[in-house]
Amino acid sequence: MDFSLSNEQKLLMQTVRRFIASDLAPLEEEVESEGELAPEKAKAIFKKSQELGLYATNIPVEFGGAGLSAVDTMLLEEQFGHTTDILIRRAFGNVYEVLLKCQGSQIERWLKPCVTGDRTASIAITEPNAGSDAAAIKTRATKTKNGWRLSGSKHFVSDGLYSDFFIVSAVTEPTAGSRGISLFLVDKASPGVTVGKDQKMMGLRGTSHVELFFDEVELSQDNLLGEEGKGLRHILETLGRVRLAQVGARAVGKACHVQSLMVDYAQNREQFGKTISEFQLIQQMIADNTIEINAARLMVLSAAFSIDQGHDARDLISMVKVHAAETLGRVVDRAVQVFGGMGFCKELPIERYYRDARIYRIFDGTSEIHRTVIANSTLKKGDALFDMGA
Amino acid sequence: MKIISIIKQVPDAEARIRATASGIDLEGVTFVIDGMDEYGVEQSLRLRETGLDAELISIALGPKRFEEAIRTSLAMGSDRAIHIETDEALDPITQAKVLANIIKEEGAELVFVGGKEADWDSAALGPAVAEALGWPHSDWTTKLVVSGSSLSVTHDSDEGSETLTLPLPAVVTTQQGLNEPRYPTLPNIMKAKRKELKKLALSDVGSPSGKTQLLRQEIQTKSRLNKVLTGDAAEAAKELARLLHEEAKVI
Repeated sequence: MDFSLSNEQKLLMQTVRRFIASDLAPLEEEVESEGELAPEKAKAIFKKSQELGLYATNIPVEFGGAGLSAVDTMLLEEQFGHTTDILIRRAFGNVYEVLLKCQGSQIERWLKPCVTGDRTASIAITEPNAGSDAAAIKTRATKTKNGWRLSGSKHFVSDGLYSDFFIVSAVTEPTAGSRGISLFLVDKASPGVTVGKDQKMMGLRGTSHVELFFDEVELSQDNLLGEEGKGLRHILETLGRVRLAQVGARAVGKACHVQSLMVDYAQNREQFGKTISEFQLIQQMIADNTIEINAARLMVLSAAFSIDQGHDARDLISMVKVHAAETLGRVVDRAVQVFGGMGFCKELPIERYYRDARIYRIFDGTSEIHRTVIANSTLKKGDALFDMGA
Repeated sequence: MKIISIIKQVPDAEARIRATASGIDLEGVTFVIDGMDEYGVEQSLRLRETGLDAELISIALGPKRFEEAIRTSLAMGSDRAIHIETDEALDPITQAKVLANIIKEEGAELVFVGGKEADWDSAALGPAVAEALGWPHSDWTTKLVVSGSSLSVTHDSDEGSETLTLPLPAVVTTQQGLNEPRYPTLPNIMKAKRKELKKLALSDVGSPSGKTQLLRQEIQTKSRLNKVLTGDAAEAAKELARLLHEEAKVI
C-alpha cells in the first residue's frame, strides 16, 4: 500500500494551487459583494485554465478531456475546494459524467461542446416534492410521432441562469416506478422552456439556482440521453464519482483552507499575555480539525482508488459524503469559535465559509439518506462493509 | 543549438523554516524549483518559441529530492535533464567545475543560471561556471535577444542598467524582470513523465572534493559592524586587508 504522491501528482496540485491563489482567490470578495462573477472575468479565468489544460479534466481523452484517474481527479478537486463554487465552475468546468451516455450525433451536439467550454449544462432532477426521493418526480415525457413531449417543472437547478441546456429527468412509464424514468437533453432555447426565478441561497453567492418550467416542450428521439426507463440508473452510476469529487474532495480542500487560517489566527491572536494557541481548549479544536481532515482525505482517496480498480464504490462514496461534509461543518464551526467576534463579522471571510459549508450536508443526498444507505448495506452485506479481514 | 538551464531546488518561500540550536530544520518543508532558475528555463522556452532551433536541457547538482525541481522544468517544456545526484554540499566553485565539464561535453552554446540562490543567498555559481568555461558572462540579466552567433543583453549594474553584446557561447544569470515563468500545463506534466532524466553520481564526474566543509550552522546573533572604508580604492583595499588581518584575524 503506497500512499506517496508521484512527481506528476505533486506538480498538478501545485499548478492548480498557484492558479487559484493568483487568479481566482482575488475575485472571491467581489463575487460575494456583487452577487455575480462579471462575464469578462469569467471568460478570462476560463481561458487561462483551458490553456493550462485544467478544464473538464474528468472527461476521457477521446472526448477532449484529460482522462485523469479517479485518484488524480480527487487530488485536483481537493485543491479546487480552496476557492468558491462559481469560480470552480467557470475555471475548471462542471461536465456531468452522465453526458458520457451520449451516442452518435449526440456526442458532437451535447458532450464535446461542454468539454471545450462552448456549452454548459445543468442537471435538473430535483422537484419541490421530489428531493432525495428522485423517483417521486411529476415531470412527464410522453411519446409523440417523432419523439417526446415534455411537461412539468424543476427547481434548485444549479447554474441554471448560465447553462444553455439541461439534463432533465422525467417519467416516461408511470406504472414502472423508478424504472419508468428517463433522461432528456433539453436546450434552454426550446419553445415551451421557461426559466423561473433565481432562488437565493444562504451561501454559494454567484451561482444561480433556478426554477424551470416545461410546457409541452417538443423533443426529438435525439434528445433522449441513454436508455429509455434507465434514467435513474444512469444517474446513480455516474453521480457517484461526481459526488466524491465535488462534495468529498472539495470539502476536504475547504476544511484545509479554513484550518490553515484558523491555526494562523490562533498563533497571532494574543490574550492574557500569550497567543491563544497556547490555551489547551483552543489546541483541542486545532487537533480535532487536523485529525478529521486527514481521516476524510484518506476516505476520499480510498474510494477513488476503488473506482480506479473498477469496483463498485457506492457504499464508500456514501461514507465519504457523510464524513467529509460533516468534517467541513465542524471545522468551519470551530473556526468561527476561534476567530470569535471576527469569525462572525463580515470583515473576514470566515462567516462566508461557515455559510457556504452548510449545504454540504444537504446537497447530493442528505447525511440522513447516505446514513440510511450505509446502514442498509451493512445490514445486508455484514462485516465486509467495515472489516478488512472478514 | 543546445541551451542548458542549471536549476536547483529550495524551500518554498512560504514554508515555515525552523531555526534550532543545531541548524536549520527542514523536516516537513515543501521544496520548489528556485524561482531565479525558473526565469532561465522560461527564457530558453521563449527563445525556441520565437524561432530558435534549440534543444533545451536542464541540469541539477544536488540530493535526490532535486528530481522534483527537474520534473518541474521538464513539465514547463525542457526536452531532457541530467541530475548529478549527491548529498554533499559542494561549494559553488567546485559545482561550477563539474557543471562546466558537462556543458562542454554536451556542446551547449548558451547557459542560464539563476542570479542568486533563494536558500543560501549565493550569487557565485553563474560567474563561476563562466570562469570555468572561459566564456563571457552577463549577470543580473533582465532582457535577452539572440541574433546569429551573438547575444544582446540588458543587465543591472551599480549605476542602473546597461546593454551589452556578447559572443556565443555565453553564460547568463537571470533575475526577476526577465520574463514571467509559465505554470506547467496538465498535458505537459503528463508528458514530462516520459522525458529522459539521466542520472550521474559524483564518481561519474571525477569525484570532485569541495574547497569548503560545512561544520555547523548557527543563528547569526552578532550585529554587523557596518564599518565603511573611505578613500580611493587602493587605500581602501590596503585598509581592508589590514583590518581582516589584525582585527578580524581571518587572513
